[in-house]
Amino acid sequence: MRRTTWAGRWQQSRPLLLSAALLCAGIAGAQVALTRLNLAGAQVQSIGLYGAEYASRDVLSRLLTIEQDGSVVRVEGYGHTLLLPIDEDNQRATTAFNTVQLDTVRVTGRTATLVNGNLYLPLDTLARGLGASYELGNFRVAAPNLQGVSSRAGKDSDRLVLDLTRDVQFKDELRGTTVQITLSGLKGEARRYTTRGAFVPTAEVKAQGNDLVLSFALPPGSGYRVYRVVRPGGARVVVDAGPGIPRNTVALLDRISRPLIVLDPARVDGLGRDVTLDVARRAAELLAKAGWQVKVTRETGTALGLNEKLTLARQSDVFLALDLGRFPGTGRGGVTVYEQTGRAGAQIVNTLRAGSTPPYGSLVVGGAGGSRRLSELLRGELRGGGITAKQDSVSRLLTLGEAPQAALLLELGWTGNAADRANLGTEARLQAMGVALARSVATYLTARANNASQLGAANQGTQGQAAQGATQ
Amino acid sequence: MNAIKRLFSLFNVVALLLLIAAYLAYEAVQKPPMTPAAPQLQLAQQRDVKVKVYYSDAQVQNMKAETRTVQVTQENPGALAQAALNVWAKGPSAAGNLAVVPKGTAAPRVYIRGAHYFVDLPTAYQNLKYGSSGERILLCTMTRTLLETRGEDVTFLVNGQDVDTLGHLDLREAFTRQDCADQ
Repeated sequence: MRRTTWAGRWQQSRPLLLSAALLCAGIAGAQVALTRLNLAGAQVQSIGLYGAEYASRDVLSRLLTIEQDGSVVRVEGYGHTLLLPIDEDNQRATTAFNTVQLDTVRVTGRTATLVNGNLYLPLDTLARGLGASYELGNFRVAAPNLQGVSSRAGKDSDRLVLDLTRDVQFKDELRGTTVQITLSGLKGEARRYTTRGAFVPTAEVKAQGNDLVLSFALPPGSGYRVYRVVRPGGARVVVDAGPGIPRNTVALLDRISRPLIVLDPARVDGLGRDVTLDVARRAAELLAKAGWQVKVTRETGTALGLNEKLTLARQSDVFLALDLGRFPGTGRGGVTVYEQTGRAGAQIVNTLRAGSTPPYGSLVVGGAGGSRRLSELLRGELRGGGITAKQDSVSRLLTLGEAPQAALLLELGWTGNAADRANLGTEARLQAMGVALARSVATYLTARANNASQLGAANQGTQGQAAQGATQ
Repeated sequence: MNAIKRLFSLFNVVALLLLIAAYLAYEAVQKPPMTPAAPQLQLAQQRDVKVKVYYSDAQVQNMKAETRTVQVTQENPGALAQAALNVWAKGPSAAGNLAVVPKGTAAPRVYIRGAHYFVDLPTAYQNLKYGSSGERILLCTMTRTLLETRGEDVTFLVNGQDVDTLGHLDLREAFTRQDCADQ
């Protein structure tokens, strides 16, 4: 009875034991030894194979992107791309008789192999291709550090070169007139660099959380491009900027870098001087000096037709109508800033204002908040110039209704009010109004540029130089 | 005797009667027709109706309503609307309110099609040259006066023609209550 039991158990466990024996024999035959590996700070398992150290695909996938394409393995990481053929003969894979491709160079070295059907990759070949340091049981990747910034002045573009210990992810964006390149996880010294270039005279490196941000002002009419150059001992991020580089930004972003300001002074007869035009001219001159694009809808002897005026209103980023209050029998006086309420003239404007905002949508159609902010800024600037302005709303004004962005009506005073007439006859008053207009528009557009450029990024922006000039 | 008998024979009597009847008929036909009496004209009775009419406040910021009595012969929407605009053009009665158009300015004509008012402004309204805020008060006081009791919107014409603007204001679409809400 007992003999029968032992025999039965032997019969049941025989296939399992045979499998184990075969596996041991296979591993022994393949000269496989299980070892421990420090992989960029993490303890993982590796195997020793004919004197070479290999790690499995699963283990390496923590650091690298590994794809098997037929009989070739494609490894990507730290800006490098390696192509390793798979040699199923373990012994032959560990010899230097294999040709592997490290980025664009083909060299001889150990290659990938299969052990028990699993893909294994040679650590020394990986370290060589990725620019990592390797010794038996220790695979180290250099910490991402900014080693230095150099520059080169060109005829139609300047170049900035950032030397990094290894490649990192980066993203570039144009915020107003400022280019910002955010290098993820990079450490380095925050400082301002001066170049000899005519187009990028200065650049600034700042730490922002775990990232490093390089920023510089892009001159008008210039483009920029950013690309990486990965080398065995590190990586470089190269930035070219200047008029020689074609612009490749979304055309809508031009509305940030070159917004259109339209001033529409109403013609008011009987005051002796053209007050609305006078204030519009003063504001336009200040804004134009600071680099803003300004259009005034009329001059002393000429005026745009209604259609031309409406076209400008539709293209405008800021539309400001200037008028004087007139009404029989009223004694009302003072300055009033009106915001338009109600529906706009164009269906697209109403639809975008009512619905969810698509990417860059705010550059096409601004909400009522824009006019409100501009109104607050304008009243604040007027107060700074000693002029108290009331806030009110108005509806059904044709030009304001056509303007998709911020639009206001500024009533400079009332013709029936003696105090207003006296005030509007003084140079100081008109100058104060012109300055307040210019400053509020510049501040508003600068803030809008910063906000709009954050569409694709959660980080904070910096002010454009032109805007700073105007606000100063 | 025989002669008298022959004279009043049946034939003669019937002939005499026919002759008399013919004479009477001739006389009746020859009479001139009766002159018809003119109908007596009666003036329709005018009734007093109270309407709410809007004017400007002294600051040209808000619209102030006055309840005015107008006289109409027929209490239909068209007559009431026209009467209200006539009173609107004449100016306010309450102190502190401002007339929206100068004294003597003609009142606009108003027509109704369903729930829509059409106000035909005289050409003089284009030459008032109010500022933007004044122009809004001008059109909105009319709009609110007309839409006070009924109707959806008011379309403004100038001299019977569609126009895009009156001064700075957009006339391309009808004015609604929402356009003229208090600020």
